[in-house]
Amino acid sequence: MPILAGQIAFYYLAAASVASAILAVTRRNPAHSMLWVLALFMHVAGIFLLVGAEFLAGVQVIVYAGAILVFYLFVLMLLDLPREAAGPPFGAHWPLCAAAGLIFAALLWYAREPGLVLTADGSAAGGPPRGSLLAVGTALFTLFALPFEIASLILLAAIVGTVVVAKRKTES
Amino acid sequence: MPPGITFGDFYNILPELVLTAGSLVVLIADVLLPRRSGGWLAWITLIVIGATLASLVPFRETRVEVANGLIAVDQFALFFKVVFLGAAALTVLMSVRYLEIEGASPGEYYFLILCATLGMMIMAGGIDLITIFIGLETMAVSFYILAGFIKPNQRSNEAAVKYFLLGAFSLGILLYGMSLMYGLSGTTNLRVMAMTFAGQESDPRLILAVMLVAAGVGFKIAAVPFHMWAPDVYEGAPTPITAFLSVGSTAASFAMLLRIFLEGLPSMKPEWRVLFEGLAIVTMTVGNLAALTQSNLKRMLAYSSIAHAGYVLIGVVAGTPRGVAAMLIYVLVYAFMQLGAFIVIVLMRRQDIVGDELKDFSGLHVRHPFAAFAMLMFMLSLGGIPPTAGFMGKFWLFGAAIDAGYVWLAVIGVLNSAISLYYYIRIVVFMYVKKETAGSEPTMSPALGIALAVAVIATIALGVYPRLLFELAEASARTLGAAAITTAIR
Repeated sequence: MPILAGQIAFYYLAAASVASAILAVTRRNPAHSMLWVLALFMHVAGIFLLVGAEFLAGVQVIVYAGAILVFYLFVLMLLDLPREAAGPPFGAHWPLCAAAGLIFAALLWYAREPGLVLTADGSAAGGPPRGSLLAVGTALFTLFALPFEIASLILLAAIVGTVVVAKRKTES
Repeated sequence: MPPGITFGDFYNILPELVLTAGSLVVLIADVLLPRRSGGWLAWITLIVIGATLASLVPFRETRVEVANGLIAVDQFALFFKVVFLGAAALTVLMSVRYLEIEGASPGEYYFLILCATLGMMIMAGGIDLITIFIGLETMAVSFYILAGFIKPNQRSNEAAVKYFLLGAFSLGILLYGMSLMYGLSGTTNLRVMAMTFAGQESDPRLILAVMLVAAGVGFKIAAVPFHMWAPDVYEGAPTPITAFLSVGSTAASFAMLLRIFLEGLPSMKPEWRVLFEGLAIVTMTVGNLAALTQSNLKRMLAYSSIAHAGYVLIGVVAGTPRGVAAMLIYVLVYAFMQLGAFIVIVLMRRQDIVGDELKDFSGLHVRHPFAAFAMLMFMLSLGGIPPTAGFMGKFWLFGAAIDAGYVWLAVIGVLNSAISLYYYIRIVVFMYVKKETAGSEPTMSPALGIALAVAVIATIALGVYPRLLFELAEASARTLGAAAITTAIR
């Protein structure tokens, strides 16, 4: 990937991440906030992809955009949405939260790695070689093949469990 | 590149394969058999368990690492596997009628019991953090569903939700500790990890890892202060599942605990010894004191099982082969007496009466002398009175503690046993001394009769002739990372 195109992509993703994060915390309707959080997750996944962390990008989409967002949605279902949307957008503790966010940002700035620049092939300097997904997959299907197979049984148990829970009526 | 699973590996995990295939057979048979054939499914499940037990026979002397060192096939795992399968078999026997009364569908139920058993077997054999975790998860997911299996019952729902939420939370803590162990050693294999840590001076980050893993495991064995879920879940879950949970899940978690700490972290022994010492004392004492005031039998047995987890922890503190052997014995003995007590509670279950309140047991010896006698034996055994197996179990546990120089820990254990006698004997008083017989009429079925007889005979026989068991347990304990234990003795 040419460096210029990579940089353009990075700046777009970074700006869009920040923008969707800001939108997510300022929306009055929690459902809208959720959608902006989804956009945030996707853009962050894009940044991971850009620096060659394919596995992290995949995990970001599967775990964050998939599982964690669904958990948030479960909580949303328990809220009284119209009343939430009508109330003040921030709780009473927002200065504390803002301070916590700023301190975290400052920490990140303090701990940043100045040498971390994009190399020609788009992976981070000093990071794992491009194709870390390959490494993960190889380990999964050779060294850890047995637990991988057992995991399928966990899924089967979970599916059976879903059937048990969802079945309308047990025979009576 | 390491190979995946070789043909030799397939042979060595034969029991697990038999159990997996068998559980699928149960699931399919549920669809093929006509409705209301729960009895047949129970027998199929028992055949599967029997076949798995039979397939363990060729591995009596085996000591190998399987599948790139992820699972060990040794006598330590073998001992626990026999305990799990035995507990599963008794659970199935006591479930047949219970499911009919509750009107729950048996196919999924038996499948999940087999699934949980498989998870336990993998936990006991796992010598790699990944395998252990996967096994734990297989067991936990099955139990989350089983705890809430009686859907119309709100308490059952409550039990499932509580167990699921707290279980997921504790699993997170455990994983955090495991990831620290991995990060500090660069490996997930416990035996390699022990070599990496050997000779290193203690690292505060590793101490943090030890604490987190101990907290995660502490939840699973319901050690105080991680025991809050146990009474609610034990009371709400279907009675056979409560029995299986308190025996199987606890035993598997102890196997996991021994694997992680004795095989993986022998270099941290001074640190985790202190930790488990404190846990053991608090767990015994709080469990027993809380049990004193319970009038619901399932709740009382929940607190008593917390106390028993405290006794078993004494063996971890001792940390010697003798201590481990005593733990193995206690786990087996405990399985029979605890399952037996729950079988009697299931006996009391009628269409309209739950039968787990203390008053249901008043005057039981008039209505059903055998059930009352069996309960008497289980209570004496749980309390640790001589002719029963429970006495021998405690005798060896406390003996191992004294051997390792923890005399006062043994003293606290004995004092606690004395406290526990109060609430165990109270049930006996209700059964034999109280005159009113207002409680429910216990109803026997062949399956329940077999289960009860097995539990009673085992509880008495292991108390009268314990020598053989001790030799078996000691041989098993010695295989637990031989190198690890010798370095731990020092």
